[in-house]
Amino acid sequence: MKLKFAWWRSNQKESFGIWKLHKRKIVLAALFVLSLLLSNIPEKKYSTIQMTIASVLVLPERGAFFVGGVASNFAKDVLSALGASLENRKLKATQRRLEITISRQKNEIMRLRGELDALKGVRNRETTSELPLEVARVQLMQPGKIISVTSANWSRLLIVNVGSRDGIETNMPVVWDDAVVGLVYKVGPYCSAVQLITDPDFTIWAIDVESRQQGIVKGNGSPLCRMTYVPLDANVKKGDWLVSTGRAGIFPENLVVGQVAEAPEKRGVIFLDIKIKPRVDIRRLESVIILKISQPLLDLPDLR
Amino acid sequence: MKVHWEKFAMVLFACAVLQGSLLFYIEVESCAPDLFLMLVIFLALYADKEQALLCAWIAGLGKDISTAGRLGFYAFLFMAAAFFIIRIRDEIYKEEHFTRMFLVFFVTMGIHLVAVIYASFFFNYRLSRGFALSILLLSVYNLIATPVMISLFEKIKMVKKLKA
Repeated sequence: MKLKFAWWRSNQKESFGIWKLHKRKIVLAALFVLSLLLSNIPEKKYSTIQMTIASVLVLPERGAFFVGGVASNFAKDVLSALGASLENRKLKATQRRLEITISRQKNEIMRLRGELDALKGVRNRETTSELPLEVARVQLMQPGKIISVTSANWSRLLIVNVGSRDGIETNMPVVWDDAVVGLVYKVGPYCSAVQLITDPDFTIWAIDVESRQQGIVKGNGSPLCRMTYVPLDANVKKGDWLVSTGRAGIFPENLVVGQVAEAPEKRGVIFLDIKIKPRVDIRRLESVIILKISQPLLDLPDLR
Repeated sequence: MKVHWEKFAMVLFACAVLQGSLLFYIEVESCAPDLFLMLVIFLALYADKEQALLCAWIAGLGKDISTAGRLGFYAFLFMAAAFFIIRIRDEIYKEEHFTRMFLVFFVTMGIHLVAVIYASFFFNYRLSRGFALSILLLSVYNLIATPVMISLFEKIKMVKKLKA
């Protein structure tokens, strides 16, 4: 009996030693065999097992789905609000850019329309204001866009975007519709300087339409011009219109120079000094028209 | 480092519930983090070796049942992955997050490659670029989720006397 027990005990110890040494391998092998056996379970039995386990999981999964849905919807709302806010900002920026583009285009359209009207006015002028303009001798009418206005000390110059490449030469008259603007002063290949009617060096022969009194209108460096060489007994009144005479051969006849701004002052001994408001408001000008006269009226030297 | 079996059972249950519900909301191209696999890797890194193998097998079985796959397939694969990790765990610095992340990445790649090859042999699937991209995406997703999940498992203290 004791021997049997001793043998059994030593066998146990041996088995236990094998188990300790190869525990992992034994477990691996057992699990591998179990996996093989499980993979051979008939489909029906497997489905039953699966459905049983799935039914246990249904309720907690439903709860988790509910929580997940709430969190997901909340996140979607937050993200969509953020996305909407970002898109809103982008759209506003685009809208502002488009508004600026539209106003620039509107501006350009208005300017071109004005140029077109002015060109039409110069070319097809009727005697609606008793001021027929001789256009037969105008060979070229070149519209020029004003790109800058310089006013250093007394001089008043406009820079326009047409030059010698467009056929512009010095001493060409510059007009807008039926009014005198000035004279081409300097010409470059792509731009030209226009001496304005208000420039102190500018002069033009003009005639009072009412009294038929002639005189020289000169710039003053101020918004008003002066008409000089008018006799003391001249019947010039406030509001009389003055037009060009065409005497110097530079400006055609009947271009409107301006209007008598104040009742003439009797200064000096011989001549009246009359203040003239030019017809053209330089501050509102966007474009001008430069005229090329085919035949000068008189062959006179440059007056300046 | 014995396993707390009751905690393990609860975590396994939670993984089964979450894998089939909440993770749906964070899916990317039908890929979501594999909670079972991360549990297996955690236990393989820290638990007693034989118990880790058993837990991996059980977790694989859980995945088989929850995915309606062939019973025993993932059980075997997870057990093989756990065996591999157990062999190398003494050589690596397992506390480092990057080590864990890369381990998860490669194990995920390996397991799913084997699964796809198995499916192509036995179920006549054609191996395509789409499969490869899915495996890569899944591996990357698991890699990203690793620090969070492993830290969570550590906090739950499924394993007694966690070695520092």
